[in-house]
Amino acid sequence: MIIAVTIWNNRISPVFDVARDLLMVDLDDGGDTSRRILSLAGMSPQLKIESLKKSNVEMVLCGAISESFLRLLTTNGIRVEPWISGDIEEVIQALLQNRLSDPCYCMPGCNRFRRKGGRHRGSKRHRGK
Amino acid sequence: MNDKPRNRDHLPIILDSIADGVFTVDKNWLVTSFNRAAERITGVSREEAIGKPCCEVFRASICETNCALRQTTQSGQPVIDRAIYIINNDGKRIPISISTALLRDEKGSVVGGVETFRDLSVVEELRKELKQRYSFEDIIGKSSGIRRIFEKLPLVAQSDSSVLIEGESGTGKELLARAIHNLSHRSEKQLVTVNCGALPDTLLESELFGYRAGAFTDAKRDKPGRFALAEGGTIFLDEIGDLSPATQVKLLRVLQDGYYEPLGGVEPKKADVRIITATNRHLSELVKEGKFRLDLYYRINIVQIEMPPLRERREDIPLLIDHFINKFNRLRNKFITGVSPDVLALLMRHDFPGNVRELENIIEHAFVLCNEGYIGLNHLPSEIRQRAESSKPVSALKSLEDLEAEFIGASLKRNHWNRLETARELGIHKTTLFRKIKRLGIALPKEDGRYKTKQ
Repeated sequence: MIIAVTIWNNRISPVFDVARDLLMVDLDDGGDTSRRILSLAGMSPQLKIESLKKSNVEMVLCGAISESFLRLLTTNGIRVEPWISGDIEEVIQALLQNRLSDPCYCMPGCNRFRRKGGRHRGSKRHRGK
Repeated sequence: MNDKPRNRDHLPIILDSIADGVFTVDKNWLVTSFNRAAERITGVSREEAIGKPCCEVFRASICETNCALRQTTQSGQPVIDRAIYIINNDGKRIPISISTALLRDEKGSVVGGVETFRDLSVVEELRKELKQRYSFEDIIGKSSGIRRIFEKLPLVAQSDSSVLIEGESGTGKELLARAIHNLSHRSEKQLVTVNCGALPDTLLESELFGYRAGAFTDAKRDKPGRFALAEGGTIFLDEIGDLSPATQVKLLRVLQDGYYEPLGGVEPKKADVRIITATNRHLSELVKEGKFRLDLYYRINIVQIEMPPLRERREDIPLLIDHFINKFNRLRNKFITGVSPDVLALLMRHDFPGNVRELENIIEHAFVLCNEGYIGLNHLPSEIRQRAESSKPVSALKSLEDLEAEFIGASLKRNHWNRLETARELGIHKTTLFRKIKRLGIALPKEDGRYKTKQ
């Protein structure tokens, strides 16, 4: 499964809508097998979605995201784990160990959504596959 | 001596009492204070905000690329009232304006920064409400010409009379026809549009009235015409001035008797259809030239509406730009904020021979080249830029007096040089108008418009 994490200064980017770089991580058998950066700079929302689909991204981990962008991703079959903050490596490890809902990875003010377990998430697959 | 510490104690109370959001950061961009308004606007509580990186608390569109506080710390210059958006904890984009300043200690060394921000949601809401007042169905405008159309549109729609819409190409004649249909009691049924200029005469007749099987070699079965399709509804005949004399006679019969005969048919069919026609030519002139039947002209011209060209309602250009930007943002999934001031100035002085359709095409063209933010000059079609450059090589902006003279001149012309009518339209006293005409040196024709009011 390929996941895309918005990245800025080695942390999750604060706002997905304007994020310029995505770290693409290929997770095979629960392990982190390959990584590359996908640049989204200057792209329209539609182009961003097409780039993600072309790269076979199944899940996006990001910080804040507007409702309209979230809808755009989920209607295109991409699962979203929004409102995450923290160091990129720690977040990826937390994902692999199924600890992403720990309060330390929640953006300030967004605990209530993440505790509800997926108000903002896209459907399809479960985490940590 | 003890005044300073006491004032410092009051600081949180003072900050909490103001309506603008305020937060401060230390040199590591961690939030050190967060007032009540900031909590309300961002949806983040003070306890959760303090000690966290400001970008993760504030979540602004500029955090990653163009941080205002970073600019201030680097240049020492404050940022004032920059319009951006943040994402609150409900995922809503909140439009705000921000200002920044440096925080210094008693020795003058920089210890951090302060950012104040104002929620512009209410302003945006008001803007939207205002826009609603300036739109009717899909027609947008606040100019006097368009307002006059808005006023009579509901009455015209309910009357069921034939309507003739005159106006240059691209002024929105079809939108007006659709608005009339939608507001009428026929709105449940179809609005059928026929472009009379697009079909050769023989085809047009069968297209309008249909044909019976055997009417001609390939007529294997009956085909209903557009009148039959529009039964109970409205038929919109565009470019009516292009109708041939033979079709004019048949149309006259529908209007006079309410009956028509399909091609090859023997029995007339009853038509319960409202007819709206449109033309970009002056039909009365075609009548004078003998190219259009006078009796048909009277039948279709029961109510006449003239769509003004865009160059005569320049004050609607900013509204229309906003409208098209919203439309294409939805269609193309983009987040264009607006047009830059120089683009607006250029479009305001462009003559728009293609009218509103041309403006729409310009914005659509800009959407191909611009992804977000403001549409700049470089996103416009080169033809528009060149034409604007050649017409006004030096001074791009007109003086206020020039604009006033142009505005009054257009109003005078609209009112056939009748000064009293013009003053009434502009909402000023006639003596004020006389004074302005003299001061601005507006040339008046020899013809006196006093006794000639507009139709």
